[in-house]
Amino acid sequence: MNLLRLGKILQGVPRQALYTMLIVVASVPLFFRVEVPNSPDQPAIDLFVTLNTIPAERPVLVESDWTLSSRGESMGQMEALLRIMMRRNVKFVLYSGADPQAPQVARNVIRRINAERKRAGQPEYKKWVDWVDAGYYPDLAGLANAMATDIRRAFAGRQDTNERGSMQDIFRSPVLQNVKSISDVALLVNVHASGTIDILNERLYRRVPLASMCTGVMGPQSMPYYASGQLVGISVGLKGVYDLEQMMEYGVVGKSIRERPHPKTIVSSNHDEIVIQPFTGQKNYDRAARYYFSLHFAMTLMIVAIIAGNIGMILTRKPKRKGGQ
Amino acid sequence: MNYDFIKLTVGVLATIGLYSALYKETKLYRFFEHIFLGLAAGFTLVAVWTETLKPMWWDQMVGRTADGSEESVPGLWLFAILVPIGLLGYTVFSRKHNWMSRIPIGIILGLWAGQQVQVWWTRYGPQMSDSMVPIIPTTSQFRVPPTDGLPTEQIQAIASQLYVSQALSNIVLVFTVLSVLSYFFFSFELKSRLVKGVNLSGRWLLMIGFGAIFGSTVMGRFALVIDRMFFIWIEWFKEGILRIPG
Repeated sequence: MNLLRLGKILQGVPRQALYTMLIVVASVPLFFRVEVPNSPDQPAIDLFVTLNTIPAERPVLVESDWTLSSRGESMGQMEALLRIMMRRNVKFVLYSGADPQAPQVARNVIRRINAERKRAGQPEYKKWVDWVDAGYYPDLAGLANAMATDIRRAFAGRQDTNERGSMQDIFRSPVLQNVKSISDVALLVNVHASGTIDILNERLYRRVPLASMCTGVMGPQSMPYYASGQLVGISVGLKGVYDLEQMMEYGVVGKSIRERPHPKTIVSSNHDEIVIQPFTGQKNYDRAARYYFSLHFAMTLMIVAIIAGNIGMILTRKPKRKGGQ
Repeated sequence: MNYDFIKLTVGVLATIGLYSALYKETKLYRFFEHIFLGLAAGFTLVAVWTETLKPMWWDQMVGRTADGSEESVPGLWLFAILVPIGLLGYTVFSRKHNWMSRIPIGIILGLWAGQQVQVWWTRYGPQMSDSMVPIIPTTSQFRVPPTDGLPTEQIQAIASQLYVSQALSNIVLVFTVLSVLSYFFFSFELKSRLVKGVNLSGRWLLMIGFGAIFGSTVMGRFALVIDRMFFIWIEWFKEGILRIPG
């Protein structure tokens, strides 16, 4: 076989064949549970440390701005966030500012995590007592402005079902009854698949600590906020979820701590004396652990395809004629 | 066959239908595309009313009478003014009256423009200040010593120094910022070889940045494919049909 023919074959692989290969390499590893070696990124460690050190008596605002179109990444983010907050008994307010479908998608995840807790013999995370639902806001910029000036006015009129089953103002709930301004909130976590973190940073930076749990597509756009201290932590894409699941499994310690709860405990280079114990015996590894193994095969396929395509291009390139003719 | 399994099966059929576009545009793809668009539009319409307009506008406008647990709330009837202002937007479809559609647009633009100075600075100010980093090392030691297990005072002493490796990293950052900025000098001709070189470096560094962004994007897209495969093979096939726990 001459090189020109080989080059043409390499360049002419039908796209249907490539898609078939992708489906195979994305599917087969899902049937195997493999703990892929991983070193969590510092931004994800900072997010995990923040979630585990914020005062449990102050509520967290969870802005859920994702729908099923980014389920592969955002659902894992949401699940990890809820598991950490529920295990620490941190109360939270759920709202959305990007898509009308987002609140329902988030409520479904909360329902599933609650069912998981029930199966594990843990108490249910009760609506109204432990979390409230503030619904969807079509103008996030307006909402964020209002939150900055008067959070009670921003969420004014929002009601949720109380323990007796009747609708009541969310500021009468145990979650929000002590919140007078945005500074009474411990943290605002944005689970997002679009540029909502830009709007939040523009209007709420320095008023409340901000954290981001974003998709891989949004990662490069959101990361500068972390580097400049505008975000206390960030978890990007599937890798970010896997980082969180690993930290839930093995815990995190600061640099100056010698004794570690587990040989695989993660060391945070941004903290000195913290010790965050692992959530031993609980469901820590979940969605990301399942997907991460497949992701490596899919990425390998892409790298191989790029190399093959480039070799094909080089082999089929016509030699330049001398003298510019 | 329970309801949950029927739901999953419909989801699997829709996934396969939509992915059939990878082979070629089929009628199956078109069918599910239209179902998806219809569902999304219908859901959005209802959700905007139930999640936003009713609690934030209608309920507040009409107020509430007292019941067993809640006091009465007077209605804010001024909220009704929002209806004609909003409806003016639809005059865009009339040649005679379309000038009126500019009124709500003007209000929105005015509100938006008024925020921009503060908003811009809050967003980019910290990033600009963070780009101004020291580039001269304070010690001749190259690498930052390992700090694992050291007492806090020693860690702080190490952190107070700028090691050569850190200074080099900062130089890369400063050079990247300046060269990329220089790439956007379009208003005058670049004659100096130095400026041309910096400009070219900026272009290369931008390309490297775009490559990294592309890599992250591809990883995200793969995660979506893997999630769909998980839905089909694990949630539907393994757990739904074979009844084996995932």
